[in-house]
Amino acid sequence: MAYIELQGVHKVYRKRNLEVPVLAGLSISIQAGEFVALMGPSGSGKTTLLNLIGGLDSPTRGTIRVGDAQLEQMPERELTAWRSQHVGFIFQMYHLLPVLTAAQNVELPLLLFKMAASERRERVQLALSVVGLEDRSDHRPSQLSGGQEQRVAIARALVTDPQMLLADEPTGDLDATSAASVLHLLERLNSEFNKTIIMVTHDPKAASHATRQLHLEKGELFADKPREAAMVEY
Amino acid sequence: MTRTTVLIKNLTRNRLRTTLTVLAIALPMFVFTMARTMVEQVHEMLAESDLKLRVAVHQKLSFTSPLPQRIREEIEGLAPEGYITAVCRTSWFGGRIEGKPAAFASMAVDRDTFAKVYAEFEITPAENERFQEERRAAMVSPELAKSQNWKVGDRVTLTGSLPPNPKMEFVIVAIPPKMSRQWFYFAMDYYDETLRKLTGSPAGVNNFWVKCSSPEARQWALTAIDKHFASSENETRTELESTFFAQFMKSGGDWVGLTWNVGRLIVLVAVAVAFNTMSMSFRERTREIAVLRTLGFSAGKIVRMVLSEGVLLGLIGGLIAVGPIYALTHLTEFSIPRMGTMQIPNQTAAIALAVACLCGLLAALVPALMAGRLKVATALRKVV
Repeated sequence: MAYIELQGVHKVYRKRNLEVPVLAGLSISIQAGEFVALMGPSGSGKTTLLNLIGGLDSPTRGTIRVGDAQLEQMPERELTAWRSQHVGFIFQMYHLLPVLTAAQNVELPLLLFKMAASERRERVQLALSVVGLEDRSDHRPSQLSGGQEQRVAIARALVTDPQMLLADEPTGDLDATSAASVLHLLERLNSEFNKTIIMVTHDPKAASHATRQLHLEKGELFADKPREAAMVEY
Repeated sequence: MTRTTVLIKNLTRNRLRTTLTVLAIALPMFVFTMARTMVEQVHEMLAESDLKLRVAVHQKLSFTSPLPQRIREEIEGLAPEGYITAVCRTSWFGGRIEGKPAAFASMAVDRDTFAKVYAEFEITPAENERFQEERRAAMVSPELAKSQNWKVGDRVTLTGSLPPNPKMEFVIVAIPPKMSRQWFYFAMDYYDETLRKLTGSPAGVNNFWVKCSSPEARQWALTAIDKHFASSENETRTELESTFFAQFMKSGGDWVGLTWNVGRLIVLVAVAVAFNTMSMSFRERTREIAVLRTLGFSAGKIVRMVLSEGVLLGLIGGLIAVGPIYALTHLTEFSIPRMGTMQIPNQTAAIALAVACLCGLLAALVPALMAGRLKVATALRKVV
C-alpha cells in the first residue's frame, strides 16, 4: 500500500465571487521512502499540492491519505497534532525565528511534546550534527549564511523524526554551492534515514536529486518519471 | 528552552518598541495607582470619622455662614443626660505665614472641650494643661511641625485669610503625635478677643462638633438638634462627620470623583497604545506565526502565546508603575501637599498590577484572535 494516496483531488480557491481552480482531479500514489520532485510552471499547483499533503489546507473535493490518516476527514485540531508528529516542513526562505539561536529554533517543535529537557537537548544536538552544524548551535540566524540557515531549518524539520519531509523550493534562495550542499543533505536523509521527501522545485538540476519527478501543469499531472528517465532528458 | 523563553525572546525583538509600550502602560498605571490611593485615603478617612461618634452642626444653608457662639450651650442643654460627651466650637482661620501661600489648615477651637471631642489625638493632660494656660496656645500636627521646622515653644505669626485678616501671634504648646495631617489648632477665646478688638464683633462659629456617647445618642443628635432650631433665625443642619467632610471636599470641586475618573480614563489610553503596538507586532510576525502553526502549534496555543505576551508587557509596566512608589511610600515618610503622609495600600498595589495585566490582555485580545484564525496556507503563500 502506498504511503501517500491522493484520489481525484480538486482544489478551488474562492476570491469574492471568482472561483480559481488550482488542482483538477489529481490522483497520485507515493511510496514510503520515495524522494519526489514536484515540478511545473508557476501557478501549476505545486505548493497547493504540498500544502494538501502536509495538512496545511484541505481539498475542495477528493481524498488524501497519508499513512493511516485520512486528511480530508480530520478536523483542524487533529490535523495540527498530526502535522507535529508526521511532517517536517522546509521553506524557501528558511523561516527561522530571528530571536532564537540555531539550537533553540531546532528545539521549537519539541516544545509540543512532553519530553525532558535533557532529551530535548540530545535530540537537538543529534539533528544539528546530521546537518553538520553542531558547532553553530549558539548562533542566531543573522550570524549564519543562507545555506547554514537552510540546514538549521532542515534540522528543525528533522528533530521530531517525522516520516515525511515537505520542502518548498528549499534551494530557491541559495547560491549554487549551498544549494548543492542542501540537496546532498536531502538525498542523504532519503537514502540513509529512509525519509519520504516531496520537494517543490523549478530547477531541473535540483530535481535530478529526486528518485521520481512529477510535472504539474494547470492543476493536472502532466508527467510522472523515474529519476533515470528524467536524467536522460536533463 | 520553554515557551516562556520564546515569549521573553519575542519581547526583546524590538527593544525600543517594547520599552515604549511598557512605559505607555507604566505611566497611566502610575497615575491610576496614585489616584486610587488618594481616593482610598479619603474614603478611609471618612469611614474612620464615623467611628468617632461625632456630628457636625452648622448653619442650614452653608457651613461658611457662621452661627453665634451661644448655640453651644443650647445644644448642651438640649441633650438627655449622658448623651453628649462634649461640644467643641470651631472657626475657620485659614492662617498663612507672611509671604507664603497657605499650605495647611488652621482653626480656632474651644480650649475646654477640644481634647475630649478629638480624643483620637490622645492629647496628654500636660499638653492639655499648657493649652488651657497659655492665651496664645496652639497645637500643631507632627507633619506640619516637621514641614515648617517648628518645635514646642516656638512663636509663630499667622495672618487670617478671612476679613478683617487678623495678624495673630501664637505659641506652640504641643505637637501631639496622633494629630494627623497638616493641622494648626488654637484657642477660640483668643480669636474671639482679637476679632472683638478689631471689629467690635465676636467670632462666628462654622461648626459645633458634638461628641456623642453612643450610636443611639448620635442618632438622637442627628434629628433632635435640627428640630430644636427649626424655624429659628439660626436654623441648623446636623450631619455625620463623614457626610460633612464629603460635602466639604466637594465644595472645592469634586476632585475625588474627578481624580478617580481621570485614573480610569487613563487606563483606556494605556489599552489603546498597547493595542496599537501589539497589532503592529502581530502584523510583523504573521509569517512566523504561520510557521509555528505549520510546526504543529495549535490555534489555541498561538492565542495563549500572544495573550501571554500582552499580559507580560502589562505586568512589567505595572511593576514599573507600582514597584518604586510602593517601596518609597512604605520605606519612607512620603507625603504630598494637602494629602499628608501617603502609603500605597497593598490592595491598591495588587489592583493596579491586575489592571495593568488586564490592559495587556485586552490590548492583545484582537491580535491574538487574528493570530489564532490565521489561515496557514494563505499566510505562507503570501510570503513564500
